[in-house]
Amino acid sequence: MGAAIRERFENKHVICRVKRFKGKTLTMNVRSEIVTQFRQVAQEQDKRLAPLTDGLELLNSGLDSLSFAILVTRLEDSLGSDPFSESEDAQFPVTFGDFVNLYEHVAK
Amino acid sequence: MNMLQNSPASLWEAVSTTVDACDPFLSSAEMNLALRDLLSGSVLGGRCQELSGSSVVIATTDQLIAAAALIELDGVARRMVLCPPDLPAEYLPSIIQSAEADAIVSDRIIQGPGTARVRSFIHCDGKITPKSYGSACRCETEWVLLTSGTTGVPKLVVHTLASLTGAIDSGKPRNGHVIWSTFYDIRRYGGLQIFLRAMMTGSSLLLSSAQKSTADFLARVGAHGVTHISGTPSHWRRALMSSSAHLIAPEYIRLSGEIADQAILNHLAQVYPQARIGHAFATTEAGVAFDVNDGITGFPSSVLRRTPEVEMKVENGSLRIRSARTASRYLDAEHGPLKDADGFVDTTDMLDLRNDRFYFVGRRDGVINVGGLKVHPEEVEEVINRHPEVRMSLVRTKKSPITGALVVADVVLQSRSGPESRQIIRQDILLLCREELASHKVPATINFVSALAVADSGKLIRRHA
Repeated sequence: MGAAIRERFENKHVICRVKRFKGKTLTMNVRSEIVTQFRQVAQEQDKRLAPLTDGLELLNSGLDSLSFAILVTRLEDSLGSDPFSESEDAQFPVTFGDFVNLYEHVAK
Repeated sequence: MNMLQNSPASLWEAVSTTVDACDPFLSSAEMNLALRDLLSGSVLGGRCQELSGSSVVIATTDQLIAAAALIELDGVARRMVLCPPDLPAEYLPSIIQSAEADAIVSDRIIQGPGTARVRSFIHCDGKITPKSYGSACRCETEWVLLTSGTTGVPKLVVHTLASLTGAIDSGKPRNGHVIWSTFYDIRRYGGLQIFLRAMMTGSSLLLSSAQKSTADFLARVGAHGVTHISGTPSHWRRALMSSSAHLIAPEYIRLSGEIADQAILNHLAQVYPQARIGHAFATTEAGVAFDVNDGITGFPSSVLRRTPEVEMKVENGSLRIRSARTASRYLDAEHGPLKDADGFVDTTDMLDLRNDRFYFVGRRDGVINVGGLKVHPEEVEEVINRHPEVRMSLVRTKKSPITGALVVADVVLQSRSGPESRQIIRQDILLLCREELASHKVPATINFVSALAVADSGKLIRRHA
């Protein structure tokens, strides 16, 4: 991958480096991990998930608060951070895009 | 039959009525003691008379020495406080204060601030010396047990020999055939029951040792031909993980102290097909209430009405007990009354009635609050433990910024398995939980761990949120 392309790629998809498994560093795409976990939790909780566009309001996503609680704890395990607990003045995101931004912001 | 009428005046007297026929012994990993020798001598260096009418703290490391001291002091001392071996030293001064202790019996050196009021320090190392006096019962001794609370100074719970032995049928034939053992330390209620059961019925008793491994203990149990053995479900789960589990062949297995779920009852029946397996409900405060011997978790609802000498009721979801086997009070008034105005002890063990059978769902103070909905960790563990690959599990709370708390599970598997099969097991467990439990009770995450911490009391260590 050329340097210019990599820079563009990294601007669009924040790469988060999570230290796990005895120091082995894994790279993970924050957005795709969030999408995966949304789908996983929705399936487990038997919820119909709306298409995950940036403008989608979380209240209309199909997930209830228990599902969100589970989602946040799963993301803490996979991405290594919980932006809601880490910052006391964290605003709860309104849209799916806000939600992704919040995690990408912590990952930077 | 009224047990109280048949109660011996003292433990010494009880032992002396059976010793000729049965010649029982007490045995620990370190030493053996024939009760016949103990009756004619003294483990307290012949200083028992000095303790007549005293309040005595028994704080030995060795269980066998404590057992011998109990036999010698019951009916002589005014009060005996049974300190478990893991009692943190910093609690001793407050226990001495609360118990108004005059004397300490120990196999180690105990000194320091807080021991000033104690006038006699009796050192004993298990040697029996001759004594020059009789052992006539002089008073009804208070037996003070320490509750194994999770944090803080333990509560001091007052019993008598009569309340402690109310559930023991000492009229059974004594043929010296029965050898008891227990995973419990005998200074906790569950272990003390087994100690007294052996002593009242002329049976021998093999003691466990905190210093030795479960495998060592099982080997000793097997070598001595133990016939009757008790422990908590956690003790038994740990025992079944040991390759030494096959070294024992008990006739009777007794579980108490924690909820005996169907999985552990089934596993024990599988490994010990020759054994009768029973689970008992007892607490330090409420005493022994009943035994369940049908091999099924929980108990038939008729038990509440048809248990002789024990009155039971369920109020606000928890089991309440009134009987002559309950403790009389807490020694410290600050812990409040032990019973309600009608004499019932609230066990705080919560019950659920389904199809005419009561099931224990957990303790009132262990409830996890998931967004306003209650979860008892034990009810979730019961479901997880049904999975054939699961050896034991601990369900705990995890803080959540959304619902306040969530349920997560730590799980110990039967055998080592690779990451792929673990992923399958994880999905299986979650599926099982989703089928059996409301969605807020299903663990948000499942962590596989190699072991779970079990307290010296034999119970899983739970940290309440």
